[in-house]
Amino acid sequence: MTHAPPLRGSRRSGLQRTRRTGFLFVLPTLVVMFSVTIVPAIFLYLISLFDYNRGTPLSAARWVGLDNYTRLLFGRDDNFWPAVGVTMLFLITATVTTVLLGTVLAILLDSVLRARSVLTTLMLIPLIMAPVIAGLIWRLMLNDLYGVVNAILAPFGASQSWLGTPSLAFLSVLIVETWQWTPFVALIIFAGIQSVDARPREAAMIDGANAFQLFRHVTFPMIQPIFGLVVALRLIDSMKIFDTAYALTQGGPGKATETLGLMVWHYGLYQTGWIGRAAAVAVLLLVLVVILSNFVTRYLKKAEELQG
Amino acid sequence: MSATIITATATRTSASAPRRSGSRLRLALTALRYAILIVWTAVSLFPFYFTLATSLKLKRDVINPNSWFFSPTLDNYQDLFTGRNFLHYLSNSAVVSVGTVVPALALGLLAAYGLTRFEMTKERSIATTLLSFRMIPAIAVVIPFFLIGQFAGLIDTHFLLIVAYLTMNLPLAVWMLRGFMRDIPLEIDEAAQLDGASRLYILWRVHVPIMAPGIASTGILLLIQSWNEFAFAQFLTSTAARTFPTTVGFFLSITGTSFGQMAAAAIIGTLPVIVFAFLMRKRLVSGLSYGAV
Repeated sequence: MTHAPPLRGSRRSGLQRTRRTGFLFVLPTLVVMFSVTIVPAIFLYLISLFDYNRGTPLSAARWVGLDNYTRLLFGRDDNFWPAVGVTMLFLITATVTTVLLGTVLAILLDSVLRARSVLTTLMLIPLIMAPVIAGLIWRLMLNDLYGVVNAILAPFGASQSWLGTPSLAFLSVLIVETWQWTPFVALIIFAGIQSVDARPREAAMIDGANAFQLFRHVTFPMIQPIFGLVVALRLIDSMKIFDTAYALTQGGPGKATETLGLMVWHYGLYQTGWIGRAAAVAVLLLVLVVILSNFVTRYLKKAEELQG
Repeated sequence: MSATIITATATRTSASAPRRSGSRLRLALTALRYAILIVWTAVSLFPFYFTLATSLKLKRDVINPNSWFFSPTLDNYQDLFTGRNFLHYLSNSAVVSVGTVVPALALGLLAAYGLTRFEMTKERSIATTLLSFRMIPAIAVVIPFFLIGQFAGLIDTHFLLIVAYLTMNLPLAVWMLRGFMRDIPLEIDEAAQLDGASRLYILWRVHVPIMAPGIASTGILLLIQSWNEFAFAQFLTSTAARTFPTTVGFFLSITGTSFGQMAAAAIIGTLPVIVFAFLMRKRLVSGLSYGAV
């Protein structure tokens, strides 16, 4: 280990005191983060133990213990397991499409020599758009009557009621997510490939490895931590999906695109105002995200060790 | 850079191998690669182009998606600003975005300094734990924010939104600034300390100027994510502090004729972000991957 020597000027009291000073610099951030995340999370959990409706005084809240959870988990709530199903199906399909397409694009970007910066800059545009605006744009394009997608498909007799048919509505959300997030994967993997030592790849190329072999056996093992990180981030972001689906389908038609995020909204923040029950859904979503975020930090540590 | 050149030479040497069919195949392969990349990019930019075109159409052209050639008008944009008070929402977005980025950067700088300069034990664990707060879904914690805001009378204020946005901005600020600050050699600190400089002086007068580009790109990344934020804004504001992305709600139940306005709103909301992203495009990918690349 090559620890840098402690800063001089901390005199003989040494490392102990230095660390304490360092902690003082981090303290304000810790206090703020504690207040804006841990405190609300605890409050969220407490609320989930009550039968409480929006717009009523706190005194009207009725203690129900874990009722809100048992109702969700043991089938007395018809909406929960379907929402888990939609969320999981979306999580898997969206991660697969974005990671596959993005990796292919990254390999292609790496294999060409010109126009890389133009292409990567243009690819950024969908990615940086607000997801809710992305949903809005596609809502416009997928409109039954006036949408451009149907206008293009009409000559082939293939126009569809995109947002009005359950399976197509799900597909629409998936298409929008893929459109917006594939560049995320492509650009990070591409930057990852560019950042690792090029010599092994050159050696393999001179030895006549084809593009697939090159990626599978040489490039991929080198960028594996970055790849893992990207997959973990995609899993989290697609599990959290709310904005895009809100603008595009609002969970419909029926409950065909109702993810856990949209369920929180429907229960707690839309007409019903069942804050307690919505909080229980939110807690479960939060737990899932926390589990997945462990993978992110694990891969980040690996990537950091890779950089030295 | 040198890697690219070496790769180029390698490709060329093998390409000039005697068999002509090989080089033709290689050429075709290269053309195919460019074709795929260009087609993807074009298709992925089409929604943006289509929205821009729709925003510039008259009502009669809007409801005809096949009207590829039309006489452009700025009517839709004008309608948004005169009829729907869009300037108000834009200025709310600006106030909230700047209002959250400034404290996030200030606290982030202090924390990054503390993490990188004091040989803290578990430094990496503290940093990654902080970063994992960035991943908390807004829709999950918006409920407690809504209730606390309601009881404190803070619903529909800039302040509540600024505080809520710290949940995503502060962790990212700490993480990115920590990355930039680690690149500053400790010898610089030591030299300044020998000259009798205090720690805050070193941070402000030595570190901040050195890492100014890093601070700027961190700030821009935070601005982008604050500008784009929807869930908190949607449920913690109503009119006074309502931000731009939530105006999407105006257009969810409308029919064909307002599509022009809808498209214009999407364009107005996206243009600032494109400018921001262009300003920091070199570091944007690094920021999006939390500095992993």
